[in-house]
Amino acid sequence: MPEQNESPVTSSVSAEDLLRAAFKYHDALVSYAYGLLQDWALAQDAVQETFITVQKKHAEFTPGTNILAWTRRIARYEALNILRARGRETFVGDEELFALVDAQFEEHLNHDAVAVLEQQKAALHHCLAQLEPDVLQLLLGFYRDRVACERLAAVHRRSVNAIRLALSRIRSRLRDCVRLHLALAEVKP
Amino acid sequence: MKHHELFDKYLRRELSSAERLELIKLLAHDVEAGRALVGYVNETTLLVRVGSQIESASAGENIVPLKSAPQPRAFSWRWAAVLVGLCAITSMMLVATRPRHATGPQLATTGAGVQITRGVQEMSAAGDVELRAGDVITTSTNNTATIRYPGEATRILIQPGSLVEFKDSSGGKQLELLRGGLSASVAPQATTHALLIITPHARATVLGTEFALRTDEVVTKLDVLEGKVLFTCRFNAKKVTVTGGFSSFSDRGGPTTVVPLQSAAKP
Repeated sequence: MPEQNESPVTSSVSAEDLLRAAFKYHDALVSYAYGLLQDWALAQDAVQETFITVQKKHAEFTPGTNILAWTRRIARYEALNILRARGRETFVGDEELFALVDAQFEEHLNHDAVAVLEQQKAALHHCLAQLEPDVLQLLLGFYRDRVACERLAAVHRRSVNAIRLALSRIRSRLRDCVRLHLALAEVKP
Repeated sequence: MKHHELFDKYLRRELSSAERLELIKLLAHDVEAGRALVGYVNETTLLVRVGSQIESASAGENIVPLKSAPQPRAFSWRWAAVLVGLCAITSMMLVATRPRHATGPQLATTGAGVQITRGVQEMSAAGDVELRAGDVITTSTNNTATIRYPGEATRILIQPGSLVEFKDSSGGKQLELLRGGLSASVAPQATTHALLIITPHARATVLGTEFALRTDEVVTKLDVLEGKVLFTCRFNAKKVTVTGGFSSFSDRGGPTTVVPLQSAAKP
């Protein structure tokens, strides 16, 4: 992806200014780290480490260049560090898939995508708040906590297939709800 | 297999060898599939982040009444009915008169030099602001801010010149002190829901105590005035328990020996 000159930071930057500017991409960075690490908690750790590094290495940032691309490179490094550290314990990363997924994010996670993400977030807040608590628990159990489908099936008293089908339907419903909210927001005066 | 099923299996690390190859082929040759993967991961990230915030916000509302103790035989049902009626009326009045702003953690500031970054939004925290998971609080060099939790005496004072992220509290209160300092008076917390404060070098796990924490690029210093705090290095997981009247420091090498509060040198 070409470097985009869309950074709000244009002159010499303090660590605080840079950190604040980088925090605007928090969700995008979590998504990127989650895509690479396939683990919600590790993704959060990688992003925390990323912000610490942003603060420490603020002097290395060139004002006027793309903060998102710069912080994403740091996040990639932190994600690799986590995978390497964990490789010594239980998880061995899949380098080929890691590189491919990384390339997709480099290609498609740009400022436009981040803007869409922020719009969707506001709409999703409204849509998710309307879900029944056990439906929300099912979503979080599946994606955040990576609970085994068999266990989710037992907790929600459904078959494994029914759980997968329910999740697909919930996401589809939420997608429709978000689309509707964004469309309504556009027509509002 | 549908793309979203493949993406789900990838995110849950459940791909079989054949599915892994299918995903590799797809991402290597199909630009739209790559775009779809990024969109799907973005959407999943939002589901989890926003869903966790909603779960966290509703956790405080799930108050389960305690079961009443067994009543003596001479118990008067007539008086009990009157008492229940009075309790119900009192509860309704309390609910009706409870201020709406007291539902979630609040941030109170001492001046205009406190900022909250919420997503792409930056706002000046004037007066009381209800905090949300992911809010980043910045205090200027001459202002402090206090986090209060409704229904308990816990107070966390963020010192001037600090940067703190208010995190998802579904599993217990959580803050990240990225720079600067804070001092806290923490009401007793459930052992499963300890207050956790993360710094660049250490994690402080608190069940109810008074303490101060300060961090810079090199070291984090913990002073415990009362109670005890479990102080764990983020890099090697070495831990010490620091009790009232003692201090400890932690850098990348782990926490130092615990020393009496007065003799602890400044980091």
